[in-house]
Amino acid sequence: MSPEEFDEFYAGSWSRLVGQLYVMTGDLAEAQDVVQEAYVRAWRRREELSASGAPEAWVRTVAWRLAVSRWRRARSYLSALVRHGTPSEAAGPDPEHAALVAALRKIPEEQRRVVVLHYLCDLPVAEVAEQTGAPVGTVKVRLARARASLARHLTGDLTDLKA
Amino acid sequence: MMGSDQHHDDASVPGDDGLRLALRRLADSAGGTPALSGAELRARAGHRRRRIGLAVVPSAAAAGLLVGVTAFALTGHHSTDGGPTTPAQSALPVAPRTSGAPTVPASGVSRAPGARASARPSGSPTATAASPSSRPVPPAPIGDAACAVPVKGESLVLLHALGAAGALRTGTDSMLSAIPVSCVHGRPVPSGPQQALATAPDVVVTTTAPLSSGSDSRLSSLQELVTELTGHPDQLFAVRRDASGLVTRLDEVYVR
Repeated sequence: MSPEEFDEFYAGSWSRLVGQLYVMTGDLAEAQDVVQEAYVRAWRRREELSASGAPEAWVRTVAWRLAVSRWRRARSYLSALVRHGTPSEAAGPDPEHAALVAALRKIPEEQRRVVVLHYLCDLPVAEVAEQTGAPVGTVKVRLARARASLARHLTGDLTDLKA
Repeated sequence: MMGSDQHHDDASVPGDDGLRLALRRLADSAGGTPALSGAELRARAGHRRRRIGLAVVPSAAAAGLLVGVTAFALTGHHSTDGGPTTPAQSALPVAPRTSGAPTVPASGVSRAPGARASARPSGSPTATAASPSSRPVPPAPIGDAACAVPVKGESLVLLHALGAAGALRTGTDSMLSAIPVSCVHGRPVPSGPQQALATAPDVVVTTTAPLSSGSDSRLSSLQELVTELTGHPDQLFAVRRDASGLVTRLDEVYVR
């Protein structure tokens, strides 16, 4: 992948991946951070990126792992506060978004991941299973639980969010 | 890769469309432009790669100091053909100098030396005696062993090509772009915005690894430089400009 090709890929996929990671992490600053770091790694390993055949999925997976790694080291929240101030709800005044972010934060990380891959990335369950390394049945269970949890945490029917 | 009009019914239930729409609107709200340009991102990746290679430098520099001091004690003079070298240079893979001038001190990051006077293109704007790379400069402290030290009148940049070498141009239409860098805590870090380099028609270019093979410095043409930078972007260079701001010298810094 040449620098020009990489720059084009970077510019074309950045906001999409930040959006996906935002939904996954519930923190916009964190999402921007891990996505940027994932692109840095993508350039350093561009041969592998090209060989993957799905560079966007590659970057998304790396960003997701970075986010998970940060959570597990229990550093992301504090560092985000230090670097970016209050969490991301402040950036989105839309109450629907704030409610959805709050609801997403209440479900387990692996459920958030399958929700994003299935609903945002439009991947079928089998492909979600492949990308997450989980059995198809597990993905279906996670999706069902995520839906139920989100419905419980959000007031009213999810379809109300259309309004 | 992510068509928005796809529907996968293998796990769908009533209410999915609402959830899908809400998630998309949330994701879209996070949109925007990246904080770093592509070039800046690649430069950042390049810095980290160099840090890995530079990690061994302090110990190597210290070892070089011991070797240099011992050699001087035994022989009464430094064994190099040129002027005095810094201890760190003794320990690092520095391109051999062909002139009698001392090398720019850079412990950890070694600057490729300038080409000998006879090898320079005639009409070169900088004669060897006045060449910035041939001036004696005090050595950098061993503790600062991970940074190049530009001589007065020069600056350090990360250089990359903006386009194909076939469309080579000089002056303000140069195909080269640079990110100024400076040493911070012994590391080269960006110190200014990316800028296009306007090169003099007779700009002198020297390259070393990875743009040319081995750690030796060699004269190169602007055309070759642009070609090589396409495959190895964001290389560290010392840049010298004339009074009008045109770049007259580009010396690649050898990073181990």
